[in-house]
Amino acid sequence: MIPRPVNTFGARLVRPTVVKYRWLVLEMVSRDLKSRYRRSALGLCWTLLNPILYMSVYSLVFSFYLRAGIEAYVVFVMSGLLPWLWFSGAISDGTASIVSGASFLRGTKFPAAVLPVVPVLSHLMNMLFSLPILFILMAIHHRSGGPCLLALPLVMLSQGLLMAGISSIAGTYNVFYRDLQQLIGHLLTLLMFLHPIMYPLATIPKSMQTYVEWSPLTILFRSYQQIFYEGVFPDFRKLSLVCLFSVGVLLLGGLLLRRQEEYFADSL
Amino acid sequence: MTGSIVLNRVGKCFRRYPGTPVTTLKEAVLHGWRRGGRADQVEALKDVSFEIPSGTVTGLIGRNGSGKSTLLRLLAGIYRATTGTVEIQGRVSSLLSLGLGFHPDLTGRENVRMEGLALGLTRRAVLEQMDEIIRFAELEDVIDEPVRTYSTGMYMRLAFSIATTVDPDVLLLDEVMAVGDASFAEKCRARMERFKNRGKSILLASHDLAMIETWCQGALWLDRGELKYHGPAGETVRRYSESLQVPSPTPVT
Repeated sequence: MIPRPVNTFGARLVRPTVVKYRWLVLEMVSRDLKSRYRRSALGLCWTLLNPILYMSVYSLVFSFYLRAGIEAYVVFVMSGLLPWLWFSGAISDGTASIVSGASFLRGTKFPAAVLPVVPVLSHLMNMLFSLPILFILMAIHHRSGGPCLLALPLVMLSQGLLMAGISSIAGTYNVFYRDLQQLIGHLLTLLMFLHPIMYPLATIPKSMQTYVEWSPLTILFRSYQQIFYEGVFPDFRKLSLVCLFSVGVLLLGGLLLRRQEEYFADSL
Repeated sequence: MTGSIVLNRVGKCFRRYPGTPVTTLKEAVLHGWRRGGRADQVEALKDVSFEIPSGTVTGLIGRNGSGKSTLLRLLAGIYRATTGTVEIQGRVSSLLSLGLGFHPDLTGRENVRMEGLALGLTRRAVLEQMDEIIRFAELEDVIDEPVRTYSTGMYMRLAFSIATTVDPDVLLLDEVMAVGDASFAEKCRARMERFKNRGKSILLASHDLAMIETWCQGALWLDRGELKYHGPAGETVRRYSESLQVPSPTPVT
């Protein structure tokens, strides 16, 4: 009887790899941030310029061409845009993360589970750096936010967990099917236009609204709009469902990565 | 016991896909989603069992493709055994095929930090050992340059320095002593000697049979993924040389 390798997933559940290697994660996040704007003349200013340019484009299209007629559209669009840039940036980087970490995975024993988490955190830092723009826009349009800002960490935590899960799943599959790397940009564009991020939910045809309304992304982005644009607390019942969903996706992602990890070094 | 290595009936299979090695979505759709279903297996290691006590230097010999690197990668934890168990007491540090493990665009210093953290050291421990690592590698002048600008010898010196400074209990070396000039090779030897005397074990893969004979007490001979012989270094080298039909080399003192 040939002995089988021991499964240690239970132990990892109690003390996840990412927690054990937190210093490595921090180091990689700071490296990611430094290298992103290396060799660009404006450097870190791009963290602020990127969302402003996106905002200008969407304002032109939705406010000027399509005449959506939303009051203080720049605040509306920015409150959804910043978390969306976090989401799309981290998911597209996360999809490629394990393949681009090949030099680590092949040369040393390297905890693969940290790789998809790094872009989630580094794009989070980007979002935090660009939040002041949103607050300035809010001040210009006499919206102060107020106590409902206290709900922001919960919304962001739940989005972060969801993203870490999606990133682990996409990153793992991308090792075996590199097509995902090509496809992910289009999937993200599709997701963005399907969800009420640049436009309000009410503009979608009534028949579709119920489906869109219960999408986890809608609930998340609605929450940001409620906090920043409407100045009210988000719907905590829906939000707690999203939280559960996010934890589920994260567990699934962790399990998948853990099961496929042993083939990474062979396949890269 | 810290530093000992025990392998119990270890096998390692690689999945080989007919045709292109890269699986694409198109292929998957055409041939069905079940990955691995039509992939045939290559057995790189078959039923390998051995025990290495701590405080020994063990050689690993065999022809190209006999599984030496696969075995070292298994011990380093890069690969996981398909069957059997690998038990290693203590921290493993490895210096495997050149160039791997470093990120070319990062500076030497950043790579040391990444490597140390990936080994599970705390940030403080890495900082404390940084100077020693740089000093031993003799790279004080270029440590803040990207490693892609390094020469092969510099690369290798830095890698050896990291692998040995982090105080591992088991050190794995894959055909690395050939690089570096004579004075650095001498430093490496001195360091390995200290290692052995402190009860740590070293596993060394090489084609340099004379070096295996002088350096190692025991040696493993792998042939097409199977452990052909495990015994005293001299005897293993003799048997292996016979199989190659070349005369056994005279040991250099």
